[in-house]
Amino acid sequence: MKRYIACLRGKLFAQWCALRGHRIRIGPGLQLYCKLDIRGPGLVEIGSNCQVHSIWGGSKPYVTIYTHSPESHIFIGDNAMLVAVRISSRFSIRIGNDILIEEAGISDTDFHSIDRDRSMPLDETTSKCAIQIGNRVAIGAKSFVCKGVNIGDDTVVAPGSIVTRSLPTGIFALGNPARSLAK
Amino acid sequence: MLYYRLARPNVHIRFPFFVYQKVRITGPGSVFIDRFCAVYPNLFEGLTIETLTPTAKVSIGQNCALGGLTIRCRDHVTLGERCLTANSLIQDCLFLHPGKVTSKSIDHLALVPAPVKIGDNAWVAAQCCLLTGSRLGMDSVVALGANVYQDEVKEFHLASGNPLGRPVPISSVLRLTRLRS
Repeated sequence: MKRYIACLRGKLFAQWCALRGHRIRIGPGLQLYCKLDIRGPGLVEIGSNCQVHSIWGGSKPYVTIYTHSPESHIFIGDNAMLVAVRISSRFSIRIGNDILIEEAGISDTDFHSIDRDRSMPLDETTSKCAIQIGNRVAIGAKSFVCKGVNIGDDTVVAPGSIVTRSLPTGIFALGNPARSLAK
Repeated sequence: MLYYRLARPNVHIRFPFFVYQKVRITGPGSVFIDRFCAVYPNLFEGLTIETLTPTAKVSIGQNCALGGLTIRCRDHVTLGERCLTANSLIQDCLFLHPGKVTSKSIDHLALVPAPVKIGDNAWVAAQCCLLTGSRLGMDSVVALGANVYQDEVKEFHLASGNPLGRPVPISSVLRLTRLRS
């Protein structure tokens, strides 16, 4: 029953996004088990058969996808499962197929400079800050993926990790900064 | 307490239970909170307990101060008496949806939930994660931002780091502090 309601909710949401314009493109088969909040002037594309879930205990129990500039682009592949994820983009975030992201934050910008004026960082560019997450990646709860990170296919990021550097294909990463766990 | 007594028979909270921030207990498993526990606000969060399976069991001892704690349980999570917790996460499974993890880089035994056991008088600081198979001994302390995964922290030891470094006996730390002062 819940699945039928989620599918119906997904279809209605996709149609509503289509009415809003071409900046939000949703593939078929979206299942919404909770609120999906998409805001901003950038382009957001979500692939087919994605699922959006909630979990209590974080700052927001639903999924938020925010773009902060007209040039920003968030692309999420097929069969993704997003559980209370917070995605913020000023440049580009590409997420592959068959991924699981639980209660994590993904941001391709620091928003503020470390200089005294705390203004928007001037040295950020798409080539330096774009985030790429491969296929079949799993990211655990309370994790954060920072700008400029490239996570390879089949990589698993344990809960509580902060990913500041790119991770290769097929590893199990844990820690702050996240690194391969030799166990 | 009254709400859980009437609406959720699998949740048993003993009187008195002091609540200063929101408490949310969901899921089909059983939850037991002993007497004189208190939920304080910590980073604006209260207590959240989510049991993910009908056989999940969360047990919290007497006189615990629970501030901003989130517990997600598939198997067993046990807190002893007089535990002190801050805005942290206790999760006895690596992922809430293990069936969705298709990567071959992780041994699928690692996805099997393992009980988390916290001894009496333990202190879990803010922003910590206690994951699958963590065991904290009596009087132990987990420092800010630590991440405990399949590790054991012995009695009266201090653990810190993400990933967790080698726990240090608190008696040595106290001795060094006294020498410095």
